[in-house]
Amino acid sequence: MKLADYDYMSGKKLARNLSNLADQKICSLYQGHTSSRDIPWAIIAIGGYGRQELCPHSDLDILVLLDKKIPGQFTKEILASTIYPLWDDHLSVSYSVRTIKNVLKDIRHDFFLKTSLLDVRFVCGSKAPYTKLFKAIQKRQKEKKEFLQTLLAHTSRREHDFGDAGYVLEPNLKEGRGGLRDMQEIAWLNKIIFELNDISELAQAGFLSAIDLSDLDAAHDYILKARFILHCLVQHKTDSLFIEHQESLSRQLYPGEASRDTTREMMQELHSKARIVKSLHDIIVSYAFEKLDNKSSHKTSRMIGEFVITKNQIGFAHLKTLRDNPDTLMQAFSLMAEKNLSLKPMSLQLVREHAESGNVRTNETSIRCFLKILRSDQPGPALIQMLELGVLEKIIPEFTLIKGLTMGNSFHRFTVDLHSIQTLLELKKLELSQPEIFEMVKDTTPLYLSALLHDIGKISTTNHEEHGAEMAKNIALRLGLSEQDSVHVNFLVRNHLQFSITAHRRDLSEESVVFLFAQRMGDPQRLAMLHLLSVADALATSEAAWTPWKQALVLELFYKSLNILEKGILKDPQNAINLDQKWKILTDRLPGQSLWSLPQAYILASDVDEIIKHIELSATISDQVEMVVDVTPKNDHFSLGIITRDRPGLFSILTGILAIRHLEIHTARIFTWLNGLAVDVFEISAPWHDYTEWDKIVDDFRKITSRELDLADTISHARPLVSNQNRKIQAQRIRITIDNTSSDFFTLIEVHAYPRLGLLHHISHAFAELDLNIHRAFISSTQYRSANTFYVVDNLGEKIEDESLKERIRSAVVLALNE
Amino acid sequence: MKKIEAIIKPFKLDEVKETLHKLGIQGMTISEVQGFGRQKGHKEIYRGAEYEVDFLPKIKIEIVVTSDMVDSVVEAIVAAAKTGKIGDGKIFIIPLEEAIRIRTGESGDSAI
Repeated sequence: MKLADYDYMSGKKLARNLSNLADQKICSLYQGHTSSRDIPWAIIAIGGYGRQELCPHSDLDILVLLDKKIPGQFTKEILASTIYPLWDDHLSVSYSVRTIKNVLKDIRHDFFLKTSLLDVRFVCGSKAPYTKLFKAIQKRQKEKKEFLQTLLAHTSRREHDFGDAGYVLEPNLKEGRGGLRDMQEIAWLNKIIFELNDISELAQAGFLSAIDLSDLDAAHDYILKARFILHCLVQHKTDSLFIEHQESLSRQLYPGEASRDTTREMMQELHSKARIVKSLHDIIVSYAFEKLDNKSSHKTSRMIGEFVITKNQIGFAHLKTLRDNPDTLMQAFSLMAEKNLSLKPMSLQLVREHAESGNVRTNETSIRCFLKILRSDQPGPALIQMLELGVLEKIIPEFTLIKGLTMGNSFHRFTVDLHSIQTLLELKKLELSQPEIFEMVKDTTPLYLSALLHDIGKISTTNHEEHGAEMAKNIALRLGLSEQDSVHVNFLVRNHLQFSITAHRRDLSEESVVFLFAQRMGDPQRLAMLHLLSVADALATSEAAWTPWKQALVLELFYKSLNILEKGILKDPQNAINLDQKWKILTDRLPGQSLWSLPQAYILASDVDEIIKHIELSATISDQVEMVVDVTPKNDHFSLGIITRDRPGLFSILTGILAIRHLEIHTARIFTWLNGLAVDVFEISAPWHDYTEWDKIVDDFRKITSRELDLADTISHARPLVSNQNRKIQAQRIRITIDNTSSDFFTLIEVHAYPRLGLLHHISHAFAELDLNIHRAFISSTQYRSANTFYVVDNLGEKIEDESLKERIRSAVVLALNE
Repeated sequence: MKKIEAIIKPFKLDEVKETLHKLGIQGMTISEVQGFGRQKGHKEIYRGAEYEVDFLPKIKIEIVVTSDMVDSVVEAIVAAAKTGKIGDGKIFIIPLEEAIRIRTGESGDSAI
């Protein structure tokens, strides 16, 4: 049969046809078998073959049954006449030759044999041994409780090994939860626990509604058909629907429409069907337990409002409770989360029907219940139940967009909707394992809501964070969160990828990188919230998404940003506002100009006109123009800007020049731009009123760097000006502090001393001799005190951690200043 | 042929990949590794809780090239991965005996 003919056949019909073909083949082989006709024996189909559910590459499970004993050559003859020909036809036959006694003995400890015999079916041969076996099996189905326990043990192992077909990216159609095995288990429970023959009888017996039954039937058929065609496509016994087969399978299931995204449709449909199968399977298991329990001790129940709690399960007080009081729907879930209970099977059904008929209210009561669930310690079971029963998408309609949606890449284990819930659950775990960081968050509700909504915009392939952020904010407002909290939600969803991106793709040893990130965060609370959300998101994605390697980078970014927000410039919120304003003005006045090289500290400390002037002047630096000097007369002093390429010992040279020129430094702001330019602004006093010899500074610089002029020598001969000589010469009282905690990027060295000619030169010269690099400095001098803060790194660009080097710095400075 | 192993800073991966593509190198193996040389790990004390960093995340890139490509590849990696600060990483060149492409069974230079 060609694949095209499959279009119009149901899954069950396809499987049955194949089974019939196998029957015919075996019967014809039996006819050809001449010897051993006198002993009654039969060929019996068991397992999937017994159920007449054969897929092209399924195993053919056969039992060759004899009444009393197996004659000598019998097995060999069977092999030769029946089994080998089947193998020759490339049928994967699994057979055993047993007497009735063998079988009954073996099923006692072989669960799989036992269950495969539940689907026993006569194919050909003598009917007598078959009937005898059948009756014997019926008799032995007494140990119901044990059967149920064993079955459940197998179910959970399947869930562990193969995952949940309703949610995973590559569902296993047979062994995954919600797959064909679940269907088989329902059939076995039906036969053994409820003692019914056919699944359809479950409706008559009141365990399932007619609608549930027909849903189950349709789901079964869909999954079976998918498996059937998958076998055809792959030519191989494979039950896992790997990504590479999804598209071709979907084209078979939805033929004729080339433009449709059939893969997504099929996967959403498959997930939905698997969820129905699993849901109903679990309901039937609950009923099975209830049935077996009826015989045991009395049940204690208690009432909580409109609910009856029996053995940790919540039931509605009457069948009509939900209809008469629709608020009880969300109240049930809220109770579930609060008290760690589950819902009775009957309640699950009622809720599902109620949700399907559109009666879920989104009034204040319901919303309050929903927020209660979010805030509870264990919201998982309630939220997942709400998802499966269709309640969650009534409370948050936007959830329909991501229901059953897969991400199409192998990073994510689950569908988007479940992943979102998992993210929330991981956050709850983090609350216990990282209390220090959680303490930084004042109100956790926006954080929890963001976890649930962070991927809500996933349906759009580009920029899902932006799109989702808007939606999330609206949802937050609708759920009654304050404007501020809703803004938090917007922020968190919009930036939920930023932590990871910055930590892995940017240079965290660069102050500007961390600064910009910290600025974007704004304050420690938001930083903490985003950090927690990012970690929870990674943990809920897959094991590979949160490794110690990744954690190291993310934590580095977190702590460095926190430092800047708590100890650095951004500690004062006014500074952030100031910076923002200046950036705006700069980008307005210099459109198209790249401002990347300006350090934030520089922008903060300078006013806009000055910055613009510096930018213009810096553009003139070239091979011919080594240094630019810009002088602005002020009231009684001058503002002197010097721009030149940074080099080792630069500050020492400049301050040396200023000293020999008798230009007294009152304050100075020293910066190194990211493009390597030193931009230094000094407020100085000149030796006389109308000093104009500024060009000499550039000349001196040229002479010193070309070694025409020996700076050290010149300085040692310099004497203070006559006009300054009436100043008393005080003994030096030097205070040096070396601070490694204020910045993650620089060591701050503070030197307080009595001002004298060349003070700064001597200090910076001492630094230069020790191979230290001054990246930034703030100088402030009064008549009696010179206070200087230097941001330095060593010659490898690292902070100064070595204790002996710190000692040498102190000694060198003291020595230099006492000469 | 030679195998080139480069240990680089994580954020430099995209740049190095880009540079290698420009040289015509399509295939490479990337792993997340940890290590340190002279750039040591250190202890951070934050809010009274010590947080130890002796674990510096790096990226290891492994590529196999014909011997005549080695110099240009090394030059390209150095240019792309360098920041001038400590911890930039190292490149190792290892002589390679043979290479085989599994799908076709080719060996030697055509398998690279």
